[in-house]
Amino acid sequence: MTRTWSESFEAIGVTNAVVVDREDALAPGLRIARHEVAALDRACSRFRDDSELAAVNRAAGVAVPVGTLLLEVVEAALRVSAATNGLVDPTVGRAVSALGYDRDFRLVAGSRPRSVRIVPAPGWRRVRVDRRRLTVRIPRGGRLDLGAVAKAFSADRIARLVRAATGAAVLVGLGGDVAVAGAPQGGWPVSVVDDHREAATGPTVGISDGGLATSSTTVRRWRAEGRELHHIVDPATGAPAREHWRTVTVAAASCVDANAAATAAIVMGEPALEWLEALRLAARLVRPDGAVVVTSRWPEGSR
Amino acid sequence: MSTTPDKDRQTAPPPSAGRERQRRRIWRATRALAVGGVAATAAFVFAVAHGGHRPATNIPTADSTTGGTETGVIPLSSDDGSASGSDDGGEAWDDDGGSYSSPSIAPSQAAPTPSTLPPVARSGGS
Repeated sequence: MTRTWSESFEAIGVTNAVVVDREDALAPGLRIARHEVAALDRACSRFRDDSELAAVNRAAGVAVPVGTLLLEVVEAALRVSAATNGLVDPTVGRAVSALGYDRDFRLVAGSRPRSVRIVPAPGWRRVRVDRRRLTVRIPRGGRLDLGAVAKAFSADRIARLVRAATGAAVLVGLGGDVAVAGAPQGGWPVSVVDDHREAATGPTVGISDGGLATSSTTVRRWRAEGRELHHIVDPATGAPAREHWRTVTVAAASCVDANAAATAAIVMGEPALEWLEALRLAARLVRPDGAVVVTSRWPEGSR
Repeated sequence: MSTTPDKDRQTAPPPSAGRERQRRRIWRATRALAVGGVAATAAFVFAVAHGGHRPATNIPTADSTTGGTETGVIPLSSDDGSASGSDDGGEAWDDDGGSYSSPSIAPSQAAPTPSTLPPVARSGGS
Protein backbone atom coordinates (compact mmCIF):
# COMPACT_ATOMS: atom_id res chain seq x y z
CA MET A 1 0.00 0.00 0.00
CA THR A 2 1.23 3.47 -0.87
CA ARG A 3 2.00 5.56 2.17
CA THR A 4 -0.01 8.75 2.53
CA TRP A 5 0.17 11.92 4.59
CA SER A 6 -2.85 13.91 5.58
CA GLU A 7 -4.08 16.81 7.63
CA SER A 8 -7.51 18.23 8.25
CA PHE A 9 -8.83 21.60 9.36
CA GLU A 10 -12.16 23.16 10.23
CA ALA A 11 -13.45 25.99 8.05
CA ILE A 12 -16.65 27.15 6.35
CA GLY A 13 -18.64 25.07 8.83
CA VAL A 14 -17.22 21.72 7.71
CA THR A 15 -14.19 19.47 8.12
CA ASN A 16 -11.67 19.75 5.30
CA ALA A 17 -8.80 17.39 4.48
CA VAL A 18 -5.73 17.22 2.28
CA VAL A 19 -4.11 13.85 1.60
CA VAL A 20 -0.96 13.42 -0.47
CA ASP A 21 1.32 10.57 -1.46
CA ARG A 22 4.55 12.46 -0.65
CA GLU A 23 5.47 13.85 2.72
CA ASP A 24 7.07 17.00 1.33
CA ALA A 25 3.82 17.87 -0.48
CA LEU A 26 1.68 18.04 2.65
CA ALA A 27 2.74 21.45 3.97
CA PRO A 28 2.39 23.29 0.65
CA GLY A 29 -0.81 21.38 -0.08
CA LEU A 30 -2.31 22.40 3.22
CA ARG A 31 -1.21 25.99 2.69
CA ILE A 32 -2.93 26.09 -0.69
CA ALA A 33 -6.08 24.51 0.70
CA ARG A 34 -6.35 26.94 3.61
CA HIS A 35 -5.76 29.90 1.32
CA GLU A 36 -8.34 28.76 -1.22
CA VAL A 37 -10.98 27.93 1.38
CA ALA A 38 -10.52 31.33 3.00
CA ALA A 39 -10.87 32.99 -0.40
CA LEU A 40 -13.99 30.95 -1.07
CA ASP A 41 -15.51 32.08 2.20
CA ARG A 42 -14.82 35.75 1.46
CA ALA A 43 -16.31 35.45 -2.01
CA CYS A 44 -19.20 33.01 -1.64
CA SER A 45 -20.43 32.89 1.95
CA ARG A 46 -24.15 33.46 2.38
CA PHE A 47 -23.64 34.25 6.05
CA ARG A 48 -20.88 36.88 5.95
CA ASP A 49 -22.11 40.41 5.49
CA ASP A 50 -18.77 41.32 3.94
CA SER A 51 -18.73 38.58 1.32
CA GLU A 52 -19.03 39.37 -2.36
CA LEU A 53 -22.07 37.13 -2.55
CA ALA A 54 -23.77 39.14 0.20
CA ALA A 55 -23.21 42.29 -1.88
CA VAL A 56 -24.77 40.60 -4.91
CA ASN A 57 -27.74 39.43 -2.87
CA ARG A 58 -28.26 42.86 -1.31
CA ALA A 59 -28.32 44.48 -4.74
CA ALA A 60 -30.74 42.12 -6.48
CA GLY A 61 -31.73 43.60 -9.82
CA VAL A 62 -28.45 45.47 -10.23
CA ALA A 63 -25.22 44.30 -11.89
CA VAL A 64 -22.64 44.06 -9.10
CA PRO A 65 -18.87 43.99 -9.71
CA VAL A 66 -17.34 40.77 -8.40
CA GLY A 67 -13.99 39.01 -8.37
CA THR A 68 -13.11 36.21 -10.73
CA LEU A 69 -13.61 33.52 -8.09
CA LEU A 70 -17.24 34.38 -7.40
CA LEU A 71 -17.88 34.88 -11.08
CA GLU A 72 -16.49 31.44 -11.89
CA VAL A 73 -18.47 29.79 -9.10
CA VAL A 74 -21.68 31.45 -10.31
CA GLU A 75 -20.94 30.26 -13.84
CA ALA A 76 -20.33 26.76 -12.52
CA ALA A 77 -23.64 26.91 -10.63
CA LEU A 78 -25.51 28.00 -13.76
CA ARG A 79 -23.98 25.20 -15.78
CA VAL A 80 -25.00 22.76 -13.07
CA SER A 81 -28.53 24.15 -13.30
CA ALA A 82 -28.54 23.68 -17.05
CA ALA A 83 -27.13 20.16 -16.81
CA THR A 84 -29.73 19.14 -14.22
CA ASN A 85 -32.58 20.95 -15.91
CA GLY A 86 -33.01 23.17 -12.89
CA LEU A 87 -33.13 20.47 -10.24
CA VAL A 88 -30.10 22.19 -8.73
CA ASP A 89 -30.55 25.95 -8.81
CA PRO A 90 -28.48 28.65 -7.06
CA THR A 91 -31.48 30.96 -6.79
CA VAL A 92 -32.88 28.93 -3.90
CA GLY A 93 -31.21 31.33 -1.47
CA ARG A 94 -34.41 33.05 -0.42
CA ALA A 95 -36.28 29.74 -0.27
CA VAL A 96 -33.69 28.29 2.11
CA SER A 97 -33.75 31.42 4.27
CA ALA A 98 -37.56 31.42 4.33
CA LEU A 99 -37.42 27.89 5.73
CA GLY A 100 -35.40 29.20 8.65
CA TYR A 101 -31.86 28.39 7.48
CA ASP A 102 -30.83 32.02 7.37
CA ARG A 103 -27.73 31.95 9.58
CA ASP A 104 -24.70 29.77 10.15
CA PHE A 105 -26.20 26.33 10.72
CA ARG A 106 -24.86 26.06 14.29
CA LEU A 107 -27.03 29.05 15.15
CA VAL A 108 -30.05 27.63 13.32
CA ALA A 109 -29.78 24.26 15.09
CA GLY A 110 -29.39 25.87 18.49
CA SER A 111 -32.11 28.48 18.24
CA ARG A 112 -35.82 28.44 18.95
CA PRO A 113 -37.93 27.39 16.00
CA ARG A 114 -39.07 30.24 13.80
CA SER A 115 -41.94 30.51 11.42
CA VAL A 116 -41.34 29.21 7.94
CA ARG A 117 -42.54 30.23 4.51
CA ILE A 118 -42.42 28.36 1.23
CA VAL A 119 -40.83 30.47 -1.50
CA PRO A 120 -40.13 28.92 -4.92
CA ALA A 121 -36.83 29.88 -6.53
CA PRO A 122 -37.08 32.60 -9.18
CA GLY A 123 -34.95 30.46 -11.49
CA TRP A 124 -31.35 30.28 -12.62
CA ARG A 125 -32.14 31.53 -16.13
CA ARG A 126 -32.69 35.01 -14.74
CA VAL A 127 -29.14 35.32 -13.40
CA ARG A 128 -26.85 37.38 -15.59
CA VAL A 129 -23.07 37.06 -15.69
CA ASP A 130 -20.94 39.56 -17.57
CA ARG A 131 -17.43 38.24 -18.00
CA ARG A 132 -16.08 41.39 -19.61
CA ARG A 133 -17.27 43.73 -16.89
CA LEU A 134 -16.93 41.09 -14.16
CA THR A 135 -20.43 41.58 -12.86
CA VAL A 136 -23.25 39.37 -11.63
CA ARG A 137 -26.89 40.38 -11.55
CA ILE A 138 -29.65 38.39 -9.93
CA PRO A 139 -33.38 39.00 -10.35
CA ARG A 140 -35.15 41.38 -7.99
CA GLY A 141 -36.31 39.52 -4.94
CA GLY A 142 -33.84 36.73 -5.62
CA ARG A 143 -30.98 35.50 -3.53
CA LEU A 144 -28.16 33.12 -4.45
CA ASP A 145 -27.05 30.16 -2.37
CA LEU A 146 -23.86 28.72 -3.82
CA GLY A 147 -23.15 26.38 -0.90
CA ALA A 148 -22.74 22.94 -2.42
CA VAL A 149 -21.44 24.00 -5.80
CA ALA A 150 -18.91 26.36 -4.23
CA LYS A 151 -17.40 23.67 -2.03
CA ALA A 152 -17.14 21.20 -4.88
CA PHE A 153 -15.70 23.86 -7.18
CA SER A 154 -13.06 24.68 -4.60
CA ALA A 155 -12.20 21.00 -4.02
CA ASP A 156 -11.57 20.56 -7.75
CA ARG A 157 -9.53 23.73 -7.88
CA ILE A 158 -7.40 22.92 -4.82
CA ALA A 159 -6.65 19.43 -6.11
CA ARG A 160 -5.45 20.86 -9.43
CA LEU A 161 -3.37 23.55 -7.73
CA VAL A 162 -1.69 21.18 -5.29
CA ARG A 163 -0.92 18.69 -8.04
CA ALA A 164 0.58 21.46 -10.18
CA ALA A 165 2.58 22.95 -7.32
CA THR A 166 3.98 19.75 -5.85
CA GLY A 167 3.67 17.02 -8.46
CA ALA A 168 2.25 14.75 -5.78
CA ALA A 169 -0.95 12.79 -6.10
CA VAL A 170 -3.55 14.52 -3.95
CA LEU A 171 -7.01 14.05 -2.53
CA VAL A 172 -8.92 17.07 -1.27
CA GLY A 173 -12.05 16.70 0.82
CA LEU A 174 -14.16 19.74 1.65
CA GLY A 175 -17.01 18.76 3.89
CA GLY A 176 -17.26 15.34 2.32
CA ASP A 177 -16.95 16.52 -1.27
CA VAL A 178 -13.86 14.79 -2.62
CA ALA A 179 -11.66 15.74 -5.59
CA VAL A 180 -8.51 13.94 -6.63
CA ALA A 181 -5.59 14.74 -8.93
CA GLY A 182 -3.40 11.73 -9.44
CA ALA A 183 -3.85 8.63 -7.32
CA PRO A 184 -1.88 5.79 -5.79
CA GLN A 185 -2.26 2.25 -7.11
CA GLY A 186 -5.83 1.12 -6.49
CA GLY A 187 -7.07 4.66 -6.04
CA TRP A 188 -7.67 6.69 -2.91
CA PRO A 189 -9.73 4.63 -0.45
CA VAL A 190 -12.74 6.75 0.52
CA SER A 191 -15.43 5.71 2.95
CA VAL A 192 -19.00 6.53 1.98
CA VAL A 193 -21.23 7.68 4.85
CA ASP A 194 -24.38 9.69 5.48
CA ASP A 195 -22.55 12.45 7.35
CA HIS A 196 -18.95 13.38 6.61
CA ARG A 197 -18.30 13.93 10.33
CA GLU A 198 -19.48 10.43 11.29
CA ALA A 199 -16.94 8.44 13.25
CA ALA A 200 -18.16 5.19 11.74
CA THR A 201 -17.08 4.18 8.27
CA GLY A 202 -19.27 2.94 5.47
CA PRO A 203 -18.34 0.97 2.38
CA THR A 204 -14.99 1.96 0.96
CA VAL A 205 -14.27 2.61 -2.71
CA GLY A 206 -11.06 3.44 -4.55
CA ILE A 207 -11.16 6.75 -6.43
CA SER A 208 -8.57 7.35 -9.15
CA ASP A 209 -9.79 10.46 -10.92
CA GLY A 210 -12.40 13.19 -10.85
CA GLY A 211 -14.55 13.56 -7.79
CA LEU A 212 -16.83 11.80 -5.37
CA ALA A 213 -19.63 13.67 -3.65
CA THR A 214 -22.49 12.83 -1.33
CA SER A 215 -25.72 14.68 -0.72
CA SER A 216 -27.80 13.70 2.25
CA THR A 217 -30.98 14.81 3.93
CA THR A 218 -29.70 13.42 7.24
CA VAL A 219 -27.49 16.44 7.84
CA ARG A 220 -28.48 20.06 8.44
CA ARG A 221 -31.93 19.25 9.72
CA TRP A 222 -33.85 21.59 11.96
CA ARG A 223 -37.32 22.04 13.36
CA ALA A 224 -39.67 24.90 12.73
CA GLU A 225 -43.37 25.21 13.46
CA GLY A 226 -43.40 21.64 14.65
CA ARG A 227 -41.97 20.31 11.40
CA GLU A 228 -38.62 18.75 10.67
CA LEU A 229 -36.90 20.33 7.70
CA HIS A 230 -33.69 19.66 5.78
CA HIS A 231 -31.46 21.79 3.62
CA ILE A 232 -31.92 20.25 0.16
CA VAL A 233 -34.64 22.39 -1.36
CA ASP A 234 -36.63 21.60 -4.47
CA PRO A 235 -36.27 24.83 -6.49
CA ALA A 236 -39.65 24.32 -8.11
CA THR A 237 -41.57 24.36 -4.84
CA GLY A 238 -39.25 26.06 -2.37
CA ALA A 239 -39.88 23.22 0.10
CA PRO A 240 -37.39 20.58 1.26
CA ALA A 241 -37.16 17.81 -1.32
CA ARG A 242 -39.26 14.75 -0.61
CA GLU A 243 -37.12 12.05 0.92
CA HIS A 244 -37.18 9.25 -1.61
CA TRP A 245 -33.45 8.93 -0.94
CA ARG A 246 -31.78 9.95 2.30
CA THR A 247 -28.27 9.85 0.85
CA VAL A 248 -26.87 9.74 -2.69
CA THR A 249 -23.18 9.35 -3.53
CA VAL A 250 -21.89 9.86 -7.07
CA ALA A 251 -18.47 9.57 -8.72
CA ALA A 252 -17.97 11.80 -11.76
CA ALA A 253 -15.36 13.54 -13.89
CA SER A 254 -15.14 16.36 -11.36
CA CYS A 255 -16.34 17.04 -7.86
CA VAL A 256 -18.71 19.70 -9.22
CA ASP A 257 -20.30 17.15 -11.54
CA ALA A 258 -20.50 14.55 -8.79
CA ASN A 259 -22.11 17.01 -6.40
CA ALA A 260 -24.56 18.21 -9.03
CA ALA A 261 -25.67 14.68 -9.82
CA ALA A 262 -25.98 13.68 -6.17
CA THR A 263 -28.08 16.71 -5.27
CA ALA A 264 -30.21 16.45 -8.40
CA ALA A 265 -30.88 12.80 -7.59
CA ILE A 266 -32.20 13.70 -4.14
CA VAL A 267 -34.57 16.26 -5.67
CA MET A 268 -35.57 14.02 -8.58
CA GLY A 269 -36.65 11.17 -6.34
CA GLU A 270 -37.34 7.67 -7.58
CA PRO A 271 -36.46 8.22 -11.27
CA ALA A 272 -32.95 9.24 -10.25
CA LEU A 273 -31.60 5.70 -10.42
CA GLU A 274 -32.48 5.42 -14.09
CA TRP A 275 -31.21 8.94 -14.78
CA LEU A 276 -27.83 8.26 -13.16
CA GLU A 277 -27.55 4.97 -15.02
CA ALA A 278 -28.24 6.69 -18.33
CA LEU A 279 -25.47 9.19 -17.60
CA ARG A 280 -23.10 6.26 -16.94
CA LEU A 281 -22.39 7.57 -13.47
CA ALA A 282 -21.25 5.34 -10.65
CA ALA A 283 -23.73 6.00 -7.87
CA ARG A 284 -24.96 4.62 -4.57
CA LEU A 285 -28.41 5.58 -3.33
CA VAL A 286 -29.76 4.95 0.16
CA ARG A 287 -33.48 4.88 0.86
CA PRO A 288 -34.83 6.36 4.09
CA ASP A 289 -35.10 2.84 5.56
CA GLY A 290 -31.41 2.20 4.83
CA ALA A 291 -31.91 -0.01 1.77
CA VAL A 292 -29.12 0.56 -0.75
CA VAL A 293 -29.28 0.47 -4.51
CA VAL A 294 -26.38 1.14 -6.87
CA THR A 295 -25.87 1.82 -10.55
CA SER A 296 -23.97 -0.66 -12.69
CA ARG A 297 -20.70 1.31 -12.52
CA TRP A 298 -20.66 1.27 -8.72
CA PRO A 299 -18.52 -1.60 -7.40
CA GLU A 300 -20.96 -4.30 -6.33
CA GLY A 301 -18.78 -5.33 -3.40
CA SER A 302 -18.95 -1.84 -1.93
CA ARG A 303 -22.65 -1.39 -1.32
CA MET B 1 -35.91 9.14 9.10
CA SER B 2 -38.76 11.47 9.24
CA THR B 3 -40.14 12.98 6.12
CA THR B 4 -41.26 16.49 5.51
CA PRO B 5 -44.66 16.68 7.15
CA ASP B 6 -47.66 17.11 4.96
CA LYS B 7 -48.28 20.44 6.61
CA ASP B 8 -45.27 21.75 4.72
CA ARG B 9 -46.92 20.96 1.49
CA GLN B 10 -50.10 22.77 2.23
CA THR B 11 -48.65 25.99 0.99
CA ALA B 12 -46.74 24.41 -1.87
CA PRO B 13 -48.25 23.91 -5.32
CA PRO B 14 -50.88 21.17 -5.46
CA PRO B 15 -49.48 17.64 -5.70
CA SER B 16 -50.80 17.25 -9.22
CA ALA B 17 -48.87 20.31 -10.35
CA GLY B 18 -45.72 18.97 -8.72
CA ARG B 19 -46.12 15.61 -10.36
CA GLU B 20 -46.71 17.25 -13.69
CA ARG B 21 -43.60 19.37 -13.26
CA GLN B 22 -41.59 16.32 -12.31
CA ARG B 23 -42.97 14.39 -15.25
CA ARG B 24 -42.01 17.18 -17.61
CA ARG B 25 -38.52 17.36 -16.19
CA ILE B 26 -38.00 13.67 -16.61
CA TRP B 27 -39.48 13.78 -20.08
CA ARG B 28 -37.07 16.54 -21.04
CA ALA B 29 -34.12 14.64 -19.57
CA THR B 30 -35.13 11.48 -21.39
CA ARG B 31 -35.57 13.33 -24.64
CA ALA B 32 -32.17 14.90 -24.08
CA LEU B 33 -30.55 11.54 -23.62
CA ALA B 34 -31.94 10.42 -26.93
CA VAL B 35 -30.60 13.35 -28.87
CA GLY B 36 -27.83 14.37 -26.52
CA GLY B 37 -24.78 14.01 -28.71
CA VAL B 38 -26.32 15.69 -31.73
CA ALA B 39 -27.84 18.48 -29.69
CA ALA B 40 -24.62 19.08 -27.80
CA THR B 41 -22.52 19.28 -30.92
CA ALA B 42 -24.98 21.54 -32.69
CA ALA B 43 -25.32 23.84 -29.70
CA PHE B 44 -21.57 24.00 -29.22
CA VAL B 45 -21.02 24.87 -32.87
CA PHE B 46 -23.75 27.48 -32.56
CA ALA B 47 -22.17 28.97 -29.47
CA VAL B 48 -18.72 29.14 -31.05
CA ALA B 49 -20.10 30.56 -34.28
CA HIS B 50 -21.85 33.30 -32.32
CA GLY B 51 -18.85 34.25 -30.28
CA GLY B 52 -19.80 32.41 -27.15
CA HIS B 53 -17.10 32.05 -24.56
CA ARG B 54 -15.58 28.69 -23.79
CA PRO B 55 -17.32 26.68 -21.14
CA ALA B 56 -15.59 26.48 -17.80
CA THR B 57 -13.38 23.45 -17.51
CA ASN B 58 -14.90 22.14 -14.33
CA ILE B 59 -18.17 21.22 -16.04
CA PRO B 60 -17.03 19.17 -18.98
CA THR B 61 -19.04 19.58 -22.10
CA ALA B 62 -19.92 16.59 -24.16
CA ASP B 63 -17.59 17.48 -26.98
CA SER B 64 -14.59 18.25 -24.81
CA THR B 65 -14.75 15.29 -22.52
CA THR B 66 -16.64 12.38 -23.83
CA GLY B 67 -16.66 12.70 -27.54
CA GLY B 68 -20.09 14.19 -27.66
CA THR B 69 -22.11 11.05 -27.90
CA GLU B 70 -21.77 9.13 -24.71
CA THR B 71 -23.15 11.29 -21.98
CA GLY B 72 -26.67 12.35 -21.39
CA VAL B 73 -26.45 15.93 -22.43
CA ILE B 74 -29.41 17.92 -21.34
CA PRO B 75 -30.12 20.60 -23.91
CA LEU B 76 -31.25 23.95 -22.68
CA SER B 77 -34.65 23.64 -24.15
CA SER B 78 -37.64 25.54 -22.95
CA ASP B 79 -40.96 23.89 -22.41
CA ASP B 80 -42.08 24.73 -25.91
CA GLY B 81 -39.15 22.88 -27.38
CA SER B 82 -37.17 25.84 -28.63
CA ALA B 83 -33.41 25.48 -28.72
CA SER B 84 -32.87 27.54 -25.63
CA GLY B 85 -34.84 29.95 -23.63
CA SER B 86 -34.41 32.44 -20.88
CA ASP B 87 -37.30 33.74 -18.92
CA ASP B 88 -37.16 37.08 -20.64
CA GLY B 89 -36.89 35.76 -24.13
CA GLY B 90 -33.16 35.93 -24.66
CA GLU B 91 -31.15 32.97 -25.81
CA ALA B 92 -28.07 33.47 -23.70
CA TRP B 93 -27.79 33.39 -19.97
CA ASP B 94 -24.84 35.66 -19.72
CA ASP B 95 -24.34 39.19 -20.94
CA ASP B 96 -21.29 38.21 -22.89
CA GLY B 97 -23.11 36.92 -25.89
CA GLY B 98 -22.41 33.36 -24.92
CA SER B 99 -24.70 30.79 -23.42
CA TYR B 100 -24.54 27.84 -21.12
CA SER B 101 -25.27 25.55 -23.99
CA SER B 102 -24.77 21.84 -23.76
CA PRO B 103 -23.44 21.31 -20.29
CA SER B 104 -23.44 17.75 -19.16
CA ILE B 105 -22.56 15.72 -16.15
CA ALA B 106 -19.66 13.53 -17.16
CA PRO B 107 -18.70 10.19 -15.66
CA SER B 108 -15.22 9.71 -14.28
CA GLN B 109 -12.77 8.04 -16.63
CA ALA B 110 -12.14 5.27 -14.14
CA ALA B 111 -15.11 3.96 -12.22
CA PRO B 112 -14.67 3.53 -8.47
CA THR B 113 -13.19 0.20 -7.46
CA PRO B 114 -13.85 -1.88 -4.37
CA SER B 115 -11.25 -1.22 -1.72
CA THR B 116 -10.32 -3.00 1.48
CA LEU B 117 -7.72 -0.42 2.48
CA PRO B 118 -8.29 1.83 5.48
CA PRO B 119 -10.06 4.93 4.18
CA VAL B 120 -8.08 8.16 3.96
CA ALA B 121 -11.18 10.32 3.62
CA ARG B 122 -14.96 10.29 3.96
CA SER B 123 -17.57 11.29 1.47
CA GLY B 124 -20.74 12.22 3.26
CA GLY B 125 -23.37 14.85 3.53
CA SER B 126 -22.38 18.20 4.93
